[in-house]
Amino acid sequence: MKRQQVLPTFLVFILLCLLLILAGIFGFTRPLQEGVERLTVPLRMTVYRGWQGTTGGLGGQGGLGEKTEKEKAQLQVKLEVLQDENQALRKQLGAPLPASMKFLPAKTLGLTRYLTIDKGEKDGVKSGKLVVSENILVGKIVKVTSATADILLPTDPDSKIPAKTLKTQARGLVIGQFGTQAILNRVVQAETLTVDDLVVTIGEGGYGRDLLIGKINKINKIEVEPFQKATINPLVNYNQLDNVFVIMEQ
Amino acid sequence: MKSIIIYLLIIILALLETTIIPFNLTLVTVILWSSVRSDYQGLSVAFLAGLLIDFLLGQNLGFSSLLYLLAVIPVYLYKKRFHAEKWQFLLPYILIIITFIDLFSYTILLSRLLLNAIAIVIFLPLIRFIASLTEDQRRLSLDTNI
Repeated sequence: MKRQQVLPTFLVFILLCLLLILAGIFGFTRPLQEGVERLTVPLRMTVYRGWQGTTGGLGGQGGLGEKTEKEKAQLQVKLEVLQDENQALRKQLGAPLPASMKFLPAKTLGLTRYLTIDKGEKDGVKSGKLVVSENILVGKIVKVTSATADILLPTDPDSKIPAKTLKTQARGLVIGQFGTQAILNRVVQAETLTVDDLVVTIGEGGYGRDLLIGKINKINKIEVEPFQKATINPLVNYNQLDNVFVIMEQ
Repeated sequence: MKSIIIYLLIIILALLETTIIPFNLTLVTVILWSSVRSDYQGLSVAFLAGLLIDFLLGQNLGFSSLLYLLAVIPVYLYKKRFHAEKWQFLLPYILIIITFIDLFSYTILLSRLLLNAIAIVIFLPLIRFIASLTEDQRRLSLDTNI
């Protein structure tokens, strides 16, 4: 294809993109996006659950026996999902958190950079709200659409959480390392850090008080440096989370 | 009809990219597709793939399409000069594009770039195969028209 033919087509598409962006800015594409989101949210959840290994496979249509087997398997999956949900709610109710806190249960939809949940603006979820599983901090909401929300995990490099250790009360800043770990940084040398000590939030930086972040697994103390560090392992496996709770009121 | 394969592949990859795999699989596929196709289909694939990503991520429509189109156009314009269908061009080109996009969204990570590079190496033969299928069909329909 010649350059003269490509460029006009390219410019038409660019113009279309700019029109769509402009329409989006003025909110004209919102109803369309909300409609499509209603379809894509269950699809994304199915893909994610499939990957997590909690749902059964989607086999083809078979005979009557196969169909009954399939229905039985589907019912079993439904039962398991409901039991998981029930267990999560019970755990959440039993978590040592203030009774004044109001929670909104949500299901996970995917984990790429952020953990995505199936609750959004239409459920009253806003940017900056915290998400927990029992009394363990899952993260902070950074992006909200009408039906979904993205959670910034403590292991993300953009996440900076003022925290302290539970036993020794050493204060520092938990900074994500991209992956499965975070670092408790900026702990002055005079303070004591111990392996296996739990790290909790101190109620600053938009994070509530006494929410568990992780457990110290390695200490990095160099005497000549002004601060010491510790590597923290999260207390939950973010990949395996099905049900989480958005703190709606603290 | 066989062109539908590329759209199906894009849908599957977009779903994976927005749920479990944090790499630019869709963008990689769109660029690879443009490099092996001689017609303007790469542009429409780039536009539609971008729209799909925007729908799935719930972000402003048109933003990803614009990004994908801008990533694809140099491949078309300089296809002959740089032998754009060869991995010697595609590998560095796609990695530069991804690094540039990551400047706005992700922290640049060597491991992420490496995984994207692996995706290019795996996807290039697959995309070439799909392109050969669709090109064969196109030629066949042109012959029957003659």
